[in-house]
Amino acid sequence: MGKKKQNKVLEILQGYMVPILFTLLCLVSIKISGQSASYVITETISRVGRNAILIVSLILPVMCGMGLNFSIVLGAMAGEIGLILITHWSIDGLPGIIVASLIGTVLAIVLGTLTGMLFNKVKGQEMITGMILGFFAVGVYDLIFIFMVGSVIPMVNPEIMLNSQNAAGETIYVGLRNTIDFHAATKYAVDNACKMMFVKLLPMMLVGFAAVTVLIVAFNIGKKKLDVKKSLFAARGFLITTIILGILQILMKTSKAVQKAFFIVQVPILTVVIIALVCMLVVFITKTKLGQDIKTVGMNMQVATAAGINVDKTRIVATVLSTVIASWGQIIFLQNIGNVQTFNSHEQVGTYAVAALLVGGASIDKATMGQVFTGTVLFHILFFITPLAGKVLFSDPQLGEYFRVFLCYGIIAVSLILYAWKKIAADKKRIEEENRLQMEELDK
Amino acid sequence: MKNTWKNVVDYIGTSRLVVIGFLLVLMISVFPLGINPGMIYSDCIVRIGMNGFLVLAMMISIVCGAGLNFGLPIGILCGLFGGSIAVQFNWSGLGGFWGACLVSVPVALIVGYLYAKLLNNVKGSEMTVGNYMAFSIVSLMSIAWLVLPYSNPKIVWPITGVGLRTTLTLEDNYDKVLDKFLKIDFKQMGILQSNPYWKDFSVSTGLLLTFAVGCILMWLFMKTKAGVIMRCSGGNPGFSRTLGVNNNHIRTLGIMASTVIAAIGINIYSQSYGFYQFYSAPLMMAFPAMAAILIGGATPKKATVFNVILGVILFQSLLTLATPVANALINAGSISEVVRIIVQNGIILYALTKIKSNGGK
Repeated sequence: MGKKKQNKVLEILQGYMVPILFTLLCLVSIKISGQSASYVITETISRVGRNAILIVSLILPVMCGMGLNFSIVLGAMAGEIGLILITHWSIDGLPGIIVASLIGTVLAIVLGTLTGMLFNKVKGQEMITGMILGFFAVGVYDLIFIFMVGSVIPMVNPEIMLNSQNAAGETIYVGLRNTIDFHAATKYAVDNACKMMFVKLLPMMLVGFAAVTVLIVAFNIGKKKLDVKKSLFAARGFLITTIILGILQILMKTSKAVQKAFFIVQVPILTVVIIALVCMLVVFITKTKLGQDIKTVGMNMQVATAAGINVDKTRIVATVLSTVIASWGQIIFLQNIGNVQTFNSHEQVGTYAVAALLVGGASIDKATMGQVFTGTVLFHILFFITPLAGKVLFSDPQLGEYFRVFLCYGIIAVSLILYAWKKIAADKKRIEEENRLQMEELDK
Repeated sequence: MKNTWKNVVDYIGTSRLVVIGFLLVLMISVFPLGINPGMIYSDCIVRIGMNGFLVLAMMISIVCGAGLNFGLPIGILCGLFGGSIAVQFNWSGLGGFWGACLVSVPVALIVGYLYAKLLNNVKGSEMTVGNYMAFSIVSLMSIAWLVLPYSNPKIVWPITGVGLRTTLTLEDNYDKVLDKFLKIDFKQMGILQSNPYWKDFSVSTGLLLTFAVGCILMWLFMKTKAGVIMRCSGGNPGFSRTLGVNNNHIRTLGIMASTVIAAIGINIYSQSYGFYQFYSAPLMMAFPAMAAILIGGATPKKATVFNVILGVILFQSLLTLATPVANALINAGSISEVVRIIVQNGIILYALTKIKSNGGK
């Protein structure tokens, strides 16, 4: 009995090894960097707020068995084009953001469909194709926005375009500037729409999460006739969050240090609401018929085909949804930054999002909402703390910078290797099983 | 006569003939556009010689069955390590250059062996694993370049005195030492000096000779017993296993060879370029080599020395010629760089769609 329990603990530890390791790494780096707790918390909240949606966009392709979708770069571009256009048309503020996301959605649907069709041609190699497709798309994007805007596409706007003299001595506008600043009303439009002190928000969140937990448990016991233990397990995500928030609330009341750390922290309510809505949308999709199709295709394409599911179409739909969510994510991200680096903002989107998801403990074939948020928090703490820690440790911020890039690529490489091993082992086992069955049949 | 012509077309392939035609148009268009043809053609020759070895490295990896070698930067890093040792100890001249290669080779052998072991364990996902392995090792080596105890004041950062600089100039070491070897330079030899088109023409004989020797050695290797086994094993692993071939062993050999050739290749590239580039420079170096061999008619399953030579000539000449021609035609700065990105990745994407899918298992 004791040994069994020990095994279980070991199993849990193994399952959560990556997040635990990164939590330790984060804590050590924070300690070394010597930054104050309130700085770390403020920075974390703002980074998680702007990156969460981009990482959520990766979940559906993972479920569909297409691996990590590096081609969300295309979605990010769609969002950027929306933002550039509203700056061009001077549609500012929240209406501007809405118009931008509409434009982004339309573009993302087109690009996502094309990506999905390409992915259907390269089944089994989606990840590397997605990455190369990202590079390819960057090239096409540059071609359009450096050379074609102003010359082929009629557009004149001195504010966002580069000017030059043509042969006749007239000023012409060709190509976009490297950095496009958003108008004052558009900058932080979503973040500043409704801000609230964390201290005041905490009790409300606590009540909210507790209420949802109770509702889910009550629903499971009342309607589905589950026992208490099972229904608590069904609501584990909300339950754990409630407990953590409760502990935080108690600490806030009792400890001066905690109170001080959270005192100036503000939470952008609208951003949080949008993130929650997108998450709920994804969860909702997984509960529908479409979501079940996606999961079935992810488990086994032959079985899915036999069950009458249109595999290719399902895969395209998953890619389109991922691309669309990524375009919204990039809009939230950029309005928080306040400007768009026209030719660089989208370059690393895929890599960073994928690395963050993997840090949360996800793998190539499995990802959950919990992993998304654990990963986002851990990865982005590391992301801003490692250069600071490197500066303290080696008096060279560059070293921390390289370390963070190494972590990013390293975690992706390790996950890919582990997944490949698992796949090969499963194949071997399947073949052995088949051989054994054949032998048994022969014996008979 | 008609039959021979048909055979040639079949051998080269229609799509490659189109590319060759386009290249010829570019080559001729240089004359009316007022670009110095002698200089441009010399540049083409240099670029072909510079990149040739990296493409050869790609070829052997395809032949041994490991597919496109996305881990080429790993070999390149070994070469850079050898180069940094050579510059640290002020080696110069042809001897210095071969010294740098000699230091690189054992390192590349060890690293290549480990990399091959890894790839043998992840069959089916070599491309993704290789790619991200290479990316992470490039960033790990970025840290190493900063902390390794280099001490030559010429190569460390001037103020702090530690860590390699981003680019090391080879001016005092072996800058263009292969290019200058037996160089045919029309200006120095006084040939055709009255002709405005050809007076700046030169042929970097040494560089081409090195590439030619590499190609011939590779071609000869493919004719030996080991080479035939390697081709067989790469083309049809299941069949070769029944013949008693150890596929993993063959793949290990091929990937090690690829790593070593890449290590020598980057030294050849750098001596011609005049600089060693460290830190993030090797990150994207696999992709031009990949595009070159694919444009030469190779597939991720099959490649020959002919594909290497044709591919590197076509791809590098196109790139070299496109820049001045595009600038003369539409005067639009870096358009050729953007077109390079599109063409290069477009070719790789097209090749990826041609890999037979494994049925989505």
